[in-house]
Amino acid sequence: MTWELIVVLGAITYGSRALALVLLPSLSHEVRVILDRMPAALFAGLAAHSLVVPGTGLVDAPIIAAAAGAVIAAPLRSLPICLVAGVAAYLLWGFIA
Amino acid sequence: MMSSPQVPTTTPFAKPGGGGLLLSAAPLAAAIGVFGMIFGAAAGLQMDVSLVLGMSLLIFSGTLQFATLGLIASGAGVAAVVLTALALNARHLVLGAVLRPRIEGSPLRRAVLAWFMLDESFGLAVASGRRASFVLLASGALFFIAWQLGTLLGVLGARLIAVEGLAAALFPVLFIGLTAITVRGREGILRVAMAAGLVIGISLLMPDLAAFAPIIAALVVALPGRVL
Repeated sequence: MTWELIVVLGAITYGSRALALVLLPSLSHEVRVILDRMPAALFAGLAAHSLVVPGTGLVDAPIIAAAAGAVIAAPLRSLPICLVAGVAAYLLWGFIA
Repeated sequence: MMSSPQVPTTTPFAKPGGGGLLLSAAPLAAAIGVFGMIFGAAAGLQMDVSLVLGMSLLIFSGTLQFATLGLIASGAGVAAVVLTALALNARHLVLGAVLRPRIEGSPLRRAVLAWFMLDESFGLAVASGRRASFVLLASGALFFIAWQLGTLLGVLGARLIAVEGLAAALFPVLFIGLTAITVRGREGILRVAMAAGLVIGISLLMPDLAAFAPIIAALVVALPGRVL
């Protein structure tokens, strides 16, 4: 790791955050409707992505248990409750197994 | 004061009376602090302390920093690290585009706010029902402090052995929580389920595309349906 690489990675990360937020012109209603559908799907995809070892299979059982706990709490639509439920399920799995 | 151009700041995602911002942000900040501590402890074994602190200050992205750490440990080159950064950060383009109509003010103001646009602060900004720019700034600043403090404690030798295994579980849990607060209606739940299924399918069958799978799936499931 070098300072040059850190600066490049920082620039890529900040640039990706700022690009649309700063430079994007006004969007049409149709585009906004489609974009508004994306965050939840994107987060669900990222959750699924963190449960899979690419080309191999699923991650370890305690992590699946934590995810299941969070899914059970999901209808409550509260981030802290999902967090607590996930951690509780993870700990419960460790206790049982 | 400039007004928001297109979309009211109370969005369709909003959950009326959904609790205080601090109540929502504090547990996330604690989790981010723990991630930071684990990152600091792990990175401190691989590189100079100043570089570890510099990574957290200048990159401020747990996902990318952990991925970079893994790549460097496995002997990957600069090109692989940069390509990974591009793939992992592609989602920010979508998040920024969704937030853009909700963030008022000059380009300079939006450029400052962009620094604080993490997955977590984005989720709170679109779901809290409060002014998106305020939520982004307040929660993002809290998460920034938590990440820096966690990293510092990690490089100073703090260890949370009991929760290190839990850290891997917190990623899906956080993203499921973010899904829960941003999803809307039965149609939204269907799209979310399809996106998750698509990502699992792509990751298992086409592992080379796994890093891009979430953004591909989100786009694929967002397109069908009425837009008027």
